[in-house]
Amino acid sequence: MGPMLRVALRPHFLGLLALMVVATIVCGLLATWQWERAHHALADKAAGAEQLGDIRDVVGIGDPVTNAVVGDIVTATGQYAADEQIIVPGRLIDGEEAVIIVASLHLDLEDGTEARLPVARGWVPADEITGPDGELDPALAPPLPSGEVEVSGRLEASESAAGGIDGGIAGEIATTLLVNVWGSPMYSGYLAQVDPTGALEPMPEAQSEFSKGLDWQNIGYSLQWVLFGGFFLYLWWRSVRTAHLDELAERREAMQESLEGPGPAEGTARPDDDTVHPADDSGLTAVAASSSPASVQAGSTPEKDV
Amino acid sequence: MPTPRPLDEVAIRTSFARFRVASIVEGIALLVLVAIMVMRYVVFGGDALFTTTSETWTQISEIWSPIHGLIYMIYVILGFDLWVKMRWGLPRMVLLMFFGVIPVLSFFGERWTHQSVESDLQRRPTLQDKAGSDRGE
Repeated sequence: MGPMLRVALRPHFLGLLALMVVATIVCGLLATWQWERAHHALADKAAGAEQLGDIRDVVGIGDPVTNAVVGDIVTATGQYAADEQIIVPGRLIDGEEAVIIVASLHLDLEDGTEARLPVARGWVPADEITGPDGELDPALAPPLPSGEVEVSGRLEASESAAGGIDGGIAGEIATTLLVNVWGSPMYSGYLAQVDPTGALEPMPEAQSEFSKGLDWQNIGYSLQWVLFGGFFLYLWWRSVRTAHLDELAERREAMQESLEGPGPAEGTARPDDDTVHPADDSGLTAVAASSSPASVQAGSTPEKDV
Repeated sequence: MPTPRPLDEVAIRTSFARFRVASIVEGIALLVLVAIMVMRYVVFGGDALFTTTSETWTQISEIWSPIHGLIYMIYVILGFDLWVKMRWGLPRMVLLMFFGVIPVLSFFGERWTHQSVESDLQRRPTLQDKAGSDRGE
């Protein structure tokens, strides 16, 4: 059994070890938690889109579209309002410059009131909706079906608004913008139609940082917790080693004293020893000090690292 | 408990020089972070607490926060290195970490730490004054 191990097995250090192991386990649990958080979105969507049925049974008005339901298929039945349609240009879909057509479907709620659900009806190539003057023209969008319609598509969370809506053209499919133009009450998400009618192409799946899967921030936190956990064990090892080295030094000193006999080493210490040691901080800067350790330490083979 | 070995003054002064740089860098980095937070949440603040209307300051904050985190980690590691070499007690380590999280405090903390290091080096035995007396034989 090595002498250092003997130090480590003393009750004092075993108790300390137990404490550090507890701390490390806590860190390990926190690391696991962050690891799971990082994979949460991935695991949740791995099974693919679910059929959730009528939107009125899935989310209420004003409820956020959470990660648990986003991307799942819902259906909605209602009527399009003829004057409530905007276009969202500037998208690149399948390598083509696309314009998304968004309309407002009026749904009858169970309590007799009416609510608006923004529906991304699909997309058209930009040149199909560009007027003779070279400007995008919302009036050229495929006409809205009239009467009662049933649409089915992915439930998506609102995009964040950066610009506004100007002349029926918006930068994003943002319910915060649409509610100001069309009115409330309105669902906080939108429906991306998967089986569009007429000339419209189906909407691609919305991309978000969250639905992309691995959350690298959480992965980072997880690794940090592992490091913290390891640090507690290192701290313990360090204190065992310090105690061990202290004892070694003490024993060596005692042995030296007994070999040299009583006296001279201590007795001949110069009386002006205190003045050798720099009393003022300006005397020994780090630069000056680092240039001389070899000669200073040559005498007593000290343990350099504490 | 055995008597602690003498301090290594040379190694301690090197450690302290590193820690001093880290303190100042961390102090400045923290002030920058505070300034960014003020811009993000106060100057361009939204209606509710901790909301913002500025995309730019959100982005700046998202870039600077992890960089500041890294600087703080380095500060803690260098503080730990000094703490180990000085053989201080655990509360002193907590104090060193605390200096780094309050704006402006790290500058005063660095001066206070400097004084503690100097007074400890005078008061406690060091390898260097031992070596001096050994050479004197």
